[in-house]
Amino acid sequence: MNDENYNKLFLDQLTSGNEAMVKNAARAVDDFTRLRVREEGILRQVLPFTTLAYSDLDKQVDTDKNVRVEEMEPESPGAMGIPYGGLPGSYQITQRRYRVVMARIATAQATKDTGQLYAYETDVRQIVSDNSIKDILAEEDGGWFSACNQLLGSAGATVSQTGSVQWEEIDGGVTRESLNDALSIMGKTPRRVQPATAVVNTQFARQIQKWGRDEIGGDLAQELLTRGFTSRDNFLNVRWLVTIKREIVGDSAMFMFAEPKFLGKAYALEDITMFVKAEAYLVRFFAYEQIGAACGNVGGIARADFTGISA
Amino acid sequence: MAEAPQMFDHFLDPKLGYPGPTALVKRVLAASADDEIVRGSVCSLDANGDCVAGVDEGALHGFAFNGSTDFDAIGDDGNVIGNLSGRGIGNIENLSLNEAAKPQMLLFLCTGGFELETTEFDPDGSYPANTFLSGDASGGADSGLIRPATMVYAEDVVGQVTDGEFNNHNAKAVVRFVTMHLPAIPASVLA
Repeated sequence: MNDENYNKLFLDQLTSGNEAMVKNAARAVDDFTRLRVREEGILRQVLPFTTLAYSDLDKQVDTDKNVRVEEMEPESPGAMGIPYGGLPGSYQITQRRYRVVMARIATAQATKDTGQLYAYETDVRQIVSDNSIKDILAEEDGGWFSACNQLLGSAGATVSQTGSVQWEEIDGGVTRESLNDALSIMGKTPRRVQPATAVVNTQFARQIQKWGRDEIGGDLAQELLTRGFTSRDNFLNVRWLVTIKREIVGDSAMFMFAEPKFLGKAYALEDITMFVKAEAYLVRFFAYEQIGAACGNVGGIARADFTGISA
Repeated sequence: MAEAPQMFDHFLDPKLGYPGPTALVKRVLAASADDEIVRGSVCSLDANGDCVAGVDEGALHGFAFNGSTDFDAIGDDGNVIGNLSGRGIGNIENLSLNEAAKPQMLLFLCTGGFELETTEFDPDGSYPANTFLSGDASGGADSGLIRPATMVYAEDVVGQVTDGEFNNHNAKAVVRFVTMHLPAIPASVLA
């Protein structure tokens, strides 16, 4: 069946006036959209989402907005040597907690007269779901990286929670040495967490592709020449995600994240759902979800901006 | 001993005109996370299209459905929700990822046809039916509260009272009114 026929089938379902058929049409777009968002979202790959039930939320006194309170491992003042006859000092056990706040993310409502949509050669379902995916991921991924940037402050700034600089400018372009300098940023904080995932964009990846055999030291140089540097599970003992979203991850930036258990929490209260409404010949679509994601351990993120990169 | 703060202490309750797909309810960013805007406040759009509490002459006005410190407006540090300072959902070119986050507010625009109840009014005013409503300009102590307008066309009018002032089902004093957008005539024209 070609796209035009899929279109006709889809639009016929929407304008059928039969509620079950309209739901079927919406559900088909739902499944496809959910799969693509899971595969293409940077946040969702760095911090996989867990389904959350409403009963798992934590009530607040002064608001009925949805929130979940998370606990972090309690800190302790450390052991000490004591002379004979002495006793150690005491301390009250306390614990850092943080909130994962939930809200709805929704796309704009697409509207159209079906009389015009029937003439489209492109699969309308594809238009609807592609736009929804792009829009929702922009909000999720943009919100995540914005939150990370704000936690880190600016290049060279000390993060108050850790007392360490976790956003550094590294000179000398992208080399084996400078990449390792970047990967060492996270380990310098008192939290001692190691990076598990690095996120760069395709322009940055091309800098790595320039490495010769002398830089890489093996057949990987040949592979980079033939296949390029793409998302991969293990390079410098870190998983790499390469994104085309230059607006979110800049050309000279490399974000590093710890394993999810040392990073934070991400929840889906309501998975992505497509709302479809057809009234006579007018149709409206939008996608919505209810999620929350938070970085609880600021020691689990780091960023390096590389200078001296040749264009 | 004080009672714990409740979600309805500062509240905007739409009575007519909402919800609905055509309701003129607009998502805007608050101008700053440092100046709190409570739920129910009357707000104006500044020159950047951001929202401030108060009635600024000549601006577009609206009423805040959520507060600038609400979880869905601005999350705690590290939260994705409420941490996107760009304006364009889906328009990735408008994202601004390195600025301080601005709270995301939902405004019931005065140009929309709503009947609303708000807790945010000047308790010293009198609100019989048909009273035109305005408010102080932004930046003042009472910015965000509605009050009786001194004179129509001398200052921006944001609403007209319908059922007056009374205690609602939560025992909170509210004023019920319909929204209205009636800008003041500039002083240079009146002169």
